[in-house]
Amino acid sequence: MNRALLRSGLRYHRRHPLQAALLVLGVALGVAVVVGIDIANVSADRSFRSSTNSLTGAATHQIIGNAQGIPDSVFFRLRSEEGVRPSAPVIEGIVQTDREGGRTLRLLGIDPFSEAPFRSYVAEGVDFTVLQRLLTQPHTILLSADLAKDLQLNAGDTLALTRPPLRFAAVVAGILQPEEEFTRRSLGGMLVTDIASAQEMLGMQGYLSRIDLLLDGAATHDAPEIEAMLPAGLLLQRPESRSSAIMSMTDAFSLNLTALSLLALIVGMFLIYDTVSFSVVRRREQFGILRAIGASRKQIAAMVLTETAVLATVGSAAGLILGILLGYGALNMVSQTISDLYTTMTVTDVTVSAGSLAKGIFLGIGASLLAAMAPAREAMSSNPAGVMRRMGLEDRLQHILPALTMTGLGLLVLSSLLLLLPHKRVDLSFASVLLFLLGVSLLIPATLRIVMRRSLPLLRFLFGTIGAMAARSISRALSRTTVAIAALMIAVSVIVGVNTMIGSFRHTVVNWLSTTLGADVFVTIPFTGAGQNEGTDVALEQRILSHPDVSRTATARTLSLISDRYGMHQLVAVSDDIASERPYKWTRDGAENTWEALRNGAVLLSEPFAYRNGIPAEPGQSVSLHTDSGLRQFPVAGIYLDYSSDKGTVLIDDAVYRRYWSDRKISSVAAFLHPSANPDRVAEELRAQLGTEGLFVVQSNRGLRDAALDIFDRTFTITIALQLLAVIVAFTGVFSTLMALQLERSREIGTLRATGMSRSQMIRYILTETGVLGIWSGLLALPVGLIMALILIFVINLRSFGWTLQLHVQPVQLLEAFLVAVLAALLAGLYPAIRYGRVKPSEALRVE
Amino acid sequence: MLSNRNIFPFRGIVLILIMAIGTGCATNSEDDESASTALAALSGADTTGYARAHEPRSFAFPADDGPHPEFKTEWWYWTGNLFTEEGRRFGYQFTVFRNALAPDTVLQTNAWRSNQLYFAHMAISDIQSESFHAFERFSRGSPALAGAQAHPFRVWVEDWIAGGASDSVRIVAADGSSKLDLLLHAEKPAVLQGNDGLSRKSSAPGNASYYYSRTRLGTTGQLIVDGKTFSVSGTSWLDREWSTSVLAEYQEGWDWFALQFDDESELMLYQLRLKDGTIDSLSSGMLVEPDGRTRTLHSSDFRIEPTGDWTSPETGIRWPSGWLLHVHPWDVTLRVTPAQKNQEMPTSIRYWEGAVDVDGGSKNGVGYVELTGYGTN
Repeated sequence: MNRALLRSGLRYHRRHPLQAALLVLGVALGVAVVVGIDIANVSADRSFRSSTNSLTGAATHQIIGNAQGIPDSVFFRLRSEEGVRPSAPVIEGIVQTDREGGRTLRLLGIDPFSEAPFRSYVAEGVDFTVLQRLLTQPHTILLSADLAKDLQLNAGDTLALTRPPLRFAAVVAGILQPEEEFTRRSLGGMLVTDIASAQEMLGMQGYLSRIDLLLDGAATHDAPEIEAMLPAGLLLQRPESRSSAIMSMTDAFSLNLTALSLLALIVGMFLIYDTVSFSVVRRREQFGILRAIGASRKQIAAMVLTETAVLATVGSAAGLILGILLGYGALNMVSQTISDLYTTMTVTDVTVSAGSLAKGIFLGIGASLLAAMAPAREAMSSNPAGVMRRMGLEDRLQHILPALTMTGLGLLVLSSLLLLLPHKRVDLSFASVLLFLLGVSLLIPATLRIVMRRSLPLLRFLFGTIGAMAARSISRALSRTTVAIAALMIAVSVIVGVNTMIGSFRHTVVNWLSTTLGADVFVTIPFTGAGQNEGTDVALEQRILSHPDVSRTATARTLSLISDRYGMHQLVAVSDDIASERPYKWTRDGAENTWEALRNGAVLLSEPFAYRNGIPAEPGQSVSLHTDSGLRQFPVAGIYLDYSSDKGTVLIDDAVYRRYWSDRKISSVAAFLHPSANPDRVAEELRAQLGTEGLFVVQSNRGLRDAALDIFDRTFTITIALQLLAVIVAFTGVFSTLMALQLERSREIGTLRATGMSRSQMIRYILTETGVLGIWSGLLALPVGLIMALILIFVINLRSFGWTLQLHVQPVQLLEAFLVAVLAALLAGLYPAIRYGRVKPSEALRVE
Repeated sequence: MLSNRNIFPFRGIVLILIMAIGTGCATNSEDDESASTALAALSGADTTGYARAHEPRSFAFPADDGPHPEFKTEWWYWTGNLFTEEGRRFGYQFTVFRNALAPDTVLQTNAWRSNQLYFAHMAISDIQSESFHAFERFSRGSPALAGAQAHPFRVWVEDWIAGGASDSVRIVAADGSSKLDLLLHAEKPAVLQGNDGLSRKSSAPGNASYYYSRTRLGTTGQLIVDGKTFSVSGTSWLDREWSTSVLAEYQEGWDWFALQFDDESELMLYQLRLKDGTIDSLSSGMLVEPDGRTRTLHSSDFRIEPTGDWTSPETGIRWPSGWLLHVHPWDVTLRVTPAQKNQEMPTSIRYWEGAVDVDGGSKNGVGYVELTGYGTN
């Protein structure tokens, strides 16, 4: 690369800072979105692994129980009678602190004498006096140095911990200073305490959460021997099966995010392509002169590529910084959603991995160079003699138009194939969406030409000669207009698609809530994190029934379970159907007989449960559940629609549940009121009567519905945020493209002005042209967006979560999206229009 | 052998053992700082609230077979020499230690809540194959996990148990492919060591233990070594000791001998080594005649002369290995030889505890020797 050439290229950009800035901005935004989402995903994943790894430690197996946990007598028997070693009792639970706005932390109760083979961090650096305090003083805790700093605690300080209805003043016995980075990170959201204290603080006297085992060659027993020792209702499983069950739930979620971030990058690529090619097109003369004074074609191409690489590097670097900031925000949203839906995440450290950054730089610079390829070739073709002529790019487009169109159609076929093939893979479904968008983009030049030809009379009718001129101008510059329209179309179709999907989802959930939440007031125990199976005494039901306005009640016991067979799922035991009209997908005996079937021992499956476990909607199906009296088969009486959890739910009659499980607790009570009663007032009264210590959450039907929709909206916050980013990227692209399109026509404009076109005619000409582009983009975006919505709703959502949603199109939203496209285009045309309006014909023509 | 896993969770516990068994044992450089802090804590304020051994007390059995939780430290220490019918020889050790982490007693409202720490050591010396198998266990005091009681007599750390009555105890302990299952029957009454059971260990008042022994326990039962079962019989020795503080800072460790002679007499000797290389004048011993009569030995009544040493390939510690015991009241010199050199306990705290042969011309027999406080420099 010739340094003089490079300097000349960079000098051009210094003289035209707007273009350089647009390119840098385009790259930066594209890179930022990808890096930000990648950081959020990687961090969420790492945080999740840290959370679980710090808990499972080196255990190869775990003994787990059902609702209340494992009686500690089981551990005593395994240890003192059967001599099972290494083995360690574990209690874990979520507690809330009074620091950092009520930060929730995981409380891990351990037996220091059993720990060393499992979680060495407890042994590291704890000296005798600390151990002595931990064992002999109730409610003493250990925490990592990092967490102690966050919470501003020193050894000996007191920390108030709440786990409704219990409240304890915990004393810091000592600070853990693990040397290993991973351990340090793992301990970021955790308090360690002795098992006796943990039982007291979590209200689990006499129970353990699980027993960790290390069943390798040196262990005293093997898995089958241990299984034979366990009482019915307890299970031996590998810890991975628990975390992988949770991970597979969150995988779908993070894949959705990745797909959206790639979409943003694709839109960003359009922007880069535009900006680079624009700068080349504008400099045809310069290239011609350079060629005339002896620069070779290769040197010119190298100059364009090097320039692009330099600007792309600047853009990528800016994108990385922006992406890291974005990652912080996105991680909060991601971990909030994971905590809402799946499992409490107590560690939320941002991990900026080299991988994420490398991915960003590679995509930013790679995409820029790829986008610069075609313009570079165009620059190469600048020959000293022909610089003034309309460039070969249009001719070449004409030439390859059939091939482009065929490729576009091919991509559409491929996309449909990917959709129609029977598989459950979400990534392939997303690939098909991307192929679909790409295919449609490739069809734009061909269709645009036809449409412009057909709409010529209309435009002539509407805007006179100027309208006809605008239509012809668009057809003439297809190579540029196509990219502009494609970028705008994709951006707007993403708005249409994602909004329609979320709108449909919300509409479905609202409908479902109104038919499913039949009761008037709901009393639940506070939610301390998914995966916690705390319950309350059945006496609660009587207390609620004693309210004069309550006519009848129904109870529910909700358990979050993980089994080898069904992964993460819920078991809900209900004493009666609270739904006014439960929506079924399929029933074995008809909707009216279904509840009777439940009383006879059958179960209902939620749609996600049936979908994920491949249980067909036909008679003769059954599920096998680990009851407290061993594994039992339960016939399936139906599949019902349920949007409360994508984990999947098995609904069982309360009496049947109590028969097979020894659990006596309940999780919530639904109260039906006399018709004259005011639900909000009754909720208020019950709240006063029950809830002085934060023991129960009392919500009216409306309150619960609002709370459910709150979580729903929170889940989609990040989707909407990403979509906005994609749109911003696209708008920047459209803006620059359209502006470039106009700016490169200064000679044409000069001629027109010289031949008598007035200033206002000129402005109308340009605005008509960009307006038509906007209208066409908007029109194209509506069906494309709707098709995308259909794929998102009926394929991706189903494959990710197992939900069937009803399509709900909001015409106002479509109109808005359409107007957004037109306005964006008009806005982009405004600056060139005003500028050309001011241009004197003589100036514009001076070069000639 | 002890598995490679670090089953010992807190290095601080080592320090309790240092106090229990001997000063400075098994500390390494990184522990030095916390060692001195904990030593200060253990020898100073930390012993407040505990009972001390100031003067002789009256012993009562079986009550004194059980625990004395008002004292900080306590142990049940069985050692013995066993033979198969064919004459194949084994040595064994089974010890349960109790250590109070705090002086106050805890209401047992929670099965896990306890101020008592129990740990146990078990070792088998397979003399013929010159192998040594040793294991340890830790647990908190809790009826379901570990503890000690007098009626009926029982001390246990999880599934390692010694139980029965004062004069008849069964020991069952296993780990991996090793197991002890022995029945011990007292052939002589308990011997109160020192001054009627008060055994002074250093000059400071209260630095003493209550100490009694059962010097001849006829033993039968089975050993499993490397998965092979052996029917054995022989004699065992029980040392029972409880205290709150024992050694002073100027003391380094002790050499302890428990010897059982063919003529049905026994000899216990210990010498307390000082850091300046001399022997503490509080070192003492006890002669037990075949008919059960006893005679207390003072430091002037005996002299212990090492005749060799052995360097552990595992730890590099140089242990004395072989002694001449000059016992003046009997007017004999006893040659004490380890039945095998390697009987170094690979436990969290390192000490040497091993079967020995005694050759004294007319007085021959077997015994056990314990060495603590070596390898600190």
